[in-house]
Amino acid sequence: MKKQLFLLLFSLITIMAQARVVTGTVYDSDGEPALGASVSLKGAKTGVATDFDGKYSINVPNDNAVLTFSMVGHKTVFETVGSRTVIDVNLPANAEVLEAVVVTAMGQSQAKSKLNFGVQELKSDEVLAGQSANFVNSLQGKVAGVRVSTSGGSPNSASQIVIRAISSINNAQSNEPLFVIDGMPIRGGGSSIGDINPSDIETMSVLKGAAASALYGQEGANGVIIITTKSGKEGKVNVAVNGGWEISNTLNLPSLQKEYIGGANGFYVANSSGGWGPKMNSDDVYYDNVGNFLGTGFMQKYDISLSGGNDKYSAYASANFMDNEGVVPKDYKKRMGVFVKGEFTPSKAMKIMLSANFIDSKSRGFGNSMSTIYGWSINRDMADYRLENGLPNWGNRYDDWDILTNSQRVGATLSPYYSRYMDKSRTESSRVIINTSIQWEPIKNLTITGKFNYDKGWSSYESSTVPRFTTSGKEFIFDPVYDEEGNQIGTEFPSAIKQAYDERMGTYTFQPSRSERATAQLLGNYYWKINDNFNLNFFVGGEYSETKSYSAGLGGIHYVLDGDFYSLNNCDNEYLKYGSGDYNVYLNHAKRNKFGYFGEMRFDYRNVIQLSVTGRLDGSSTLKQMTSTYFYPSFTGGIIFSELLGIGSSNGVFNYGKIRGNWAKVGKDAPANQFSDNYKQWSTFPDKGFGVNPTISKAITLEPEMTKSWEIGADLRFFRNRTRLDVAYYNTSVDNQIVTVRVSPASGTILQTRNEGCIENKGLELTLNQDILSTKDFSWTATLNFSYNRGKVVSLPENVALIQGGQYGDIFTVAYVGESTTGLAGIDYERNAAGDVIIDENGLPKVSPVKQTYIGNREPDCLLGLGSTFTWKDLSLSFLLDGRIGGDVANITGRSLYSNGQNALLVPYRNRKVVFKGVVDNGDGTYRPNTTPVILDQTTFNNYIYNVSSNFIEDGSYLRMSYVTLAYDFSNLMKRLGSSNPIKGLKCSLTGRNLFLLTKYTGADPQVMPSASNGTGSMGIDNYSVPSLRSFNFNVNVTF
Amino acid sequence: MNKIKSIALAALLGATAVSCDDVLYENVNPDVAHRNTCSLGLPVLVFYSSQVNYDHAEYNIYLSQCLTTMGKSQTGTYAYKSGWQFLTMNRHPQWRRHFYDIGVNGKELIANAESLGSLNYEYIARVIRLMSTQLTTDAFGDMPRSQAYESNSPKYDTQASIYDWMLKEADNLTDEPGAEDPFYSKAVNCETNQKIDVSQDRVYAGDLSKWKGLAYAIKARLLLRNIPNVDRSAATCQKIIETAQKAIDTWRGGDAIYGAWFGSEPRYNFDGGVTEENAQWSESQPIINAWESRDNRLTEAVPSKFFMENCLGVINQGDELKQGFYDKENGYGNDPRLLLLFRPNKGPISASNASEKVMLRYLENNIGAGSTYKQSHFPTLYCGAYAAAKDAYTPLFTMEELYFIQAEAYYWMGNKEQACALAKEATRWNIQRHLDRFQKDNPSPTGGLTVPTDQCRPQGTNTALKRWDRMVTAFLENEKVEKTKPASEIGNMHYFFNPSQYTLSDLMMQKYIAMYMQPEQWTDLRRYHYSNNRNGYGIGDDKEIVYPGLRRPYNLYQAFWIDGLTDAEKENTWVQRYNYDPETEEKYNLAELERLGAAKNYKWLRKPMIWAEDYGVRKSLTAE
Repeated sequence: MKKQLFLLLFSLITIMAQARVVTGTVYDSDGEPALGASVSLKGAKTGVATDFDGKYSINVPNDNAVLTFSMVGHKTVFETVGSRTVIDVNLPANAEVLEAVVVTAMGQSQAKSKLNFGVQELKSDEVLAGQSANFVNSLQGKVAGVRVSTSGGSPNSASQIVIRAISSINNAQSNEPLFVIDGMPIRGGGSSIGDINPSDIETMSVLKGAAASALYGQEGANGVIIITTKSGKEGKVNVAVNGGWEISNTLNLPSLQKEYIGGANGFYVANSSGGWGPKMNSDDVYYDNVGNFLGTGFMQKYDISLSGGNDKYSAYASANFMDNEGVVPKDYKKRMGVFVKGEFTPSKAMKIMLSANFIDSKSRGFGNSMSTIYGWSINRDMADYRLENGLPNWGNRYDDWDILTNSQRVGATLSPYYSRYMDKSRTESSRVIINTSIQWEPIKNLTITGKFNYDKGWSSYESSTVPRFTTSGKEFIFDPVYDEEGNQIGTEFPSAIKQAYDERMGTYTFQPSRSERATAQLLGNYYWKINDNFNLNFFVGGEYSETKSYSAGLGGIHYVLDGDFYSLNNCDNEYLKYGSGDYNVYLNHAKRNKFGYFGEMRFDYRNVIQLSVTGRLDGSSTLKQMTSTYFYPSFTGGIIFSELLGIGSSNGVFNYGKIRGNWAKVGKDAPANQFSDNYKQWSTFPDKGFGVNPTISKAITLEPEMTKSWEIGADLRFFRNRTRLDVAYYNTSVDNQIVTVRVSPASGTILQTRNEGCIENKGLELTLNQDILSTKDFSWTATLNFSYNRGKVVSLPENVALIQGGQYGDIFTVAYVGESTTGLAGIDYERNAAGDVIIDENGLPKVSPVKQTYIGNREPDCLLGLGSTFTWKDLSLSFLLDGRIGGDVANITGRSLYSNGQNALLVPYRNRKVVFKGVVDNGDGTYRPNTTPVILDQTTFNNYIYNVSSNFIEDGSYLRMSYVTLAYDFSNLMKRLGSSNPIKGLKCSLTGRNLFLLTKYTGADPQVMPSASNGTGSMGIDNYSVPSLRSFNFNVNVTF
Repeated sequence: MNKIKSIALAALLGATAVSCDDVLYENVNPDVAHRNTCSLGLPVLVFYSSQVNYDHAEYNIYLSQCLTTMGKSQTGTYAYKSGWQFLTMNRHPQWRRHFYDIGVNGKELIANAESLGSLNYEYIARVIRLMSTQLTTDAFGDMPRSQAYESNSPKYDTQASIYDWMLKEADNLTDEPGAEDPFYSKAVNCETNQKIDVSQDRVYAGDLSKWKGLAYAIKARLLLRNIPNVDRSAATCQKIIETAQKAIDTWRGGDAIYGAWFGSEPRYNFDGGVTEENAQWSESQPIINAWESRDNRLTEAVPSKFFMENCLGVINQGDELKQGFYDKENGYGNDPRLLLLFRPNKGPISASNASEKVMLRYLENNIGAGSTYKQSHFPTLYCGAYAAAKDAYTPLFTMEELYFIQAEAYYWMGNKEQACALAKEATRWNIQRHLDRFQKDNPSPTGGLTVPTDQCRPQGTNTALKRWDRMVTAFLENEKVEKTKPASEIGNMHYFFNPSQYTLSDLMMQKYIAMYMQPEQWTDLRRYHYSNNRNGYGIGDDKEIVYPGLRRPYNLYQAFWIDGLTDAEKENTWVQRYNYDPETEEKYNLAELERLGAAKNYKWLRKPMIWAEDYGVRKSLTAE
């Protein structure tokens, strides 16, 4: 018993001897005391957090205990206690974790934990993930609140990116974010930024709110995307080579019928297209004209980069080439680029950077031209397009050419194959972006930076069409010529169609353009450490920028000399003097400039409380006739409440919490040249002369558009940072919207630019990062992005219901007062108070006489993105699911297919009795369900369905497998091959994009637009774009 | 310390570099002219004077049930030729043409002329503005005038006040006794007038005395609006006759440009060429801009049954053997203009019977053609004085109209013989007008008509000239045809020019034909309440039916023109005006539209003009 007691006592003494308190200080990567760093026993569920001074105190059970030190943006450090009672730790920065230091406005870098506005950063591999030809297209789903639309599956499709929501409903104002490369703004939006080689991108920061981008001024009012390119690193020269190959085909097509041929009302009509004729006979041949026309696309791209440096010099250089052939014949884009970037550090106080990016591309687009293809009768072979003599085979479209009038013949529809294979067109573009900066630190904590950016692009579009008819004009009915006695003595070419005929006897156009932007900035930054608790940072700067451009055009028609001399110099001189039509001569210049002074003061209290205030004074040439300068401020604040309140460090569930808020105002100037009278030369009028130009907008007075925004957000972390939640709620209003509207001509103008009304955006963004599993060989992470926005037109001038954007027949994209900023208006049925369609006694619906009823909202209810990565040893599998709920789409394509009888969805109903869903007025204020059937023939369909725009507004909800990538990293294998092996890294990946699309939308793809456009935009309009593609990509990355 | 100085210097340089307003570019488009001159502004305004006539006529020729289309749609882009569903139509060119193309250009021309001291420019601009105002208010009714160009939401003046202004302006432009501000003499005698030549004014080469005739003519047209609903008094009729006579005398005085009868009526002569150098009605279908102008679309138009049967006398389209010109032997009294206004086309090639080979096929308005019919089975409409060729002309006013104005006034004064004589004379020369064009395209040294044999039936062996003269004479001198003969023998023969039995219908039906492709055709129809056998709207003490055979179009837009109306109401419910542009007026002047009751109200389309209200409702055109 005594022995047992002794042993127990000994044990207790031993435990008491080993269990003790360990203290110390944790420093961050800057050497500053780290506030809020987590300190815990390895394997334990609880721990402590460092205080304002980075100090901690923790009980350890014994000498073998291992302490884990972790903090946002830093690598985790493990320390075995041993006999030590004081353990100080320096946490190295971790560039790979999400919360790393991010680049923000004007090239400033800050830890994300110190930012008080919405910003999300993507690293190089995240930018590249998905392997899209234009990396902008794959941002959808990766960043909360970002909405990307494309104009279809062509290599030349436009891309448009909107952050959160549109801020201007003016058709002349862009809503795309400002793109900034290495601290300097560049030209263009989502389409042109896609020409940047994504492999050159080190990081990409998305600044979302007005406060985030307030320093950038008006161009940042729609958010800013900051791209930081790769730089040479000190050490050995690195060489990386990438190769990618991709095949693609159409993901979905509109559902086309396969039973009926062209005609009308179920009867055969000669020369008809579409499918309103009778059913095919047994001896008719079915041609899959759409399937045959849309083939398989193939893209290949290669890039190589070299980088290296020493303590004074570093350099990065790359070259890339891409050849992307689309699914439409002769729809292609070839691009090559060279990027060089050098950094020179002559002294500790000075750093000089110079980079140059040269991009050259050649392309031929297809546009929104699927109409003819979809409408081609299924019993005629569209591919049989050409006769032996090279002229069009009109017979593949017109089975009775003889009954066509001259006007019909000259306007006859050509097989799309003919223009793709026989005609020529090419756009050639070159672009140079030069960035240079000198950073000077004359005294400690003061940095002065001078920056200059020059971004210049040239482009030329050249096209020629070959003659469609013989020079004798034998395809036409000649006019009789009579003698004086009235006897016909011959014939002559029909003069009435002379010009139209000439326009089809060969055309040539050449349209060069140039655009440039130069920006210079002088920035000063001073960091003042008042004491251990308080820091102040002052940032001031001035900026000057100017943009200039011109575009010109030359055109001619009717080649005089037969053969293949397709040149302006072969066009009929008679037409060269006329300055109108498609083949005219024009020259347009544009230029504008602006300056800005700006400053920011940031206050920091022990890394726990951050406050900042900014101000910017802008001056713009576009308001020179008014008050050209305008000022706007912003305020931000953030508190790491988990530290202030001492929560989060003592349990394993919640370990970090910060709330932030901001208020900002950002001004935006007007389109250029709005204040002067405009006269044009009416060169086509019989006696020429000058008159007022109705196509140019004029303003009487204008004020800057002002965006006011407030935002609150929180950064919350759980389970020792394994769960990271960032949430933000924002409210933005834009007053004094500058819009160009069609006013009453009784006002003296047709188009007038003016300040009209106010819009509002409210929304929520949520980003959830989760480390689900992490073992030695296996890890599983997931990121969920969720966002919604509610854009609303709060007010317009009295009696003005909407600001109109684009027009697609009788469907208009609109900003509608009291409704969405991205709405749809058109014709609807007459409805009762319950919203039921009113049907007349004959069973036919009543069509409302109101032209622009609000019929749809193109803004989604919410956007979703779910990305996940599984890694097992060197094998990884990642995917991105992208989806949205809501967001109406105007199915213009589908509507037209209904109209021409080609839509398969019509087949079960055509020429059958149907009962329109609706109610019949009882005449006493009550209604009864309609039960009267009507025959849905072509006339009924066109009068009561096709004519009503609202029938073609569909829910655009979808869930898309944006991409799945399976990758294997052979780098470890390369290492095992020994140092003699020159290959240091080898990674192969297989990516499938657009593998599936789940949607009720009946068209090809609800995430579509016809073209990139300003104002209320054209997203949500499906108008004969090339269908979106499903693709498979194989990529190899080798480093030496 | 040196560093501090350097910093300060850098900051100073930076601030200076970006500077302030001085560095900003001039905010002016270098590719656009920012001022205009009289000499370059006038040709544009004169061109628009022809365009505004065309704009109205292009609508009105369908609204007057003269032409129709093969379709039968209730809705569509061209409501004026389909189901009258106007409220969703996108922009009417007439509104813009008046207020912008003529209004703003004219306003600036007047300002430039005053500043230049060349009042002849101002005179022409004011005459054109007067004409455009008349055309526009007679299509829309109330509209901005006194406050136009003063705001984005100018007040709409009443049509009566606009009429008052127009009559006063006409007096000012003709120096009539009592004119508030006589301007004609002032403009003519202005010593600092610059010379206006034909390259600026292809209508009159700056001859203000001839432009003065247009001011008289417009005034005569305005005064005619008193008949038959406002003021039928002899005094008013006499004033109408006198005013029209002043226009006639003015145009026939001096050097008559177009011969003794047509005198110097205002014609905008096109040379032909490319785009707008061609006549608006010609087959080249010129259009200024797709968004501001409409091409003539005669390629898709079809003559109406009313025009062909009831006006021009084509009968029995099912039997081509009984169609054709007037022939004394068989008594079919068709109008000689048939062959001048239409080029007959045969029916379907596959037709095996005569009925499908009809050459002058036509349709009831908006009834739609059968699916087997093609446009080519209907007559070609690119014929006649205005549509035949690219180098045709657009008349700003015709001499025939002046004659018919006088004839109508005489008729209401009770002098039917004079009315008949004037109408016959006007008809004779209206035939000649179209014949002139025909002969220009088919010149003959003998001056006779040369009609292609395949277009002239029944084929004869006489020379074309003789036959033509016989045809015209028989048509004009038809009072000897016995009215008592059965219809089977005389078809729908009209007693056009029988002075003893002359009717209002005879007069107005002939004016209707003479106003082919002229805006006034629809105005007359509205003035006479679309009087036809079906609605039984009789005019005058005799309750005469003015347009026998006229009927409402088929397939009118049900919600506006069918539902809720009794059969009798339907026949009396016709389109009376255009709606205001939903794209601009409904947005920027909605309060005015609501005040008028015109906002999104289809019934507004039924509201008659002040001169088309029922007789007795209004005693004066100018009183509110």
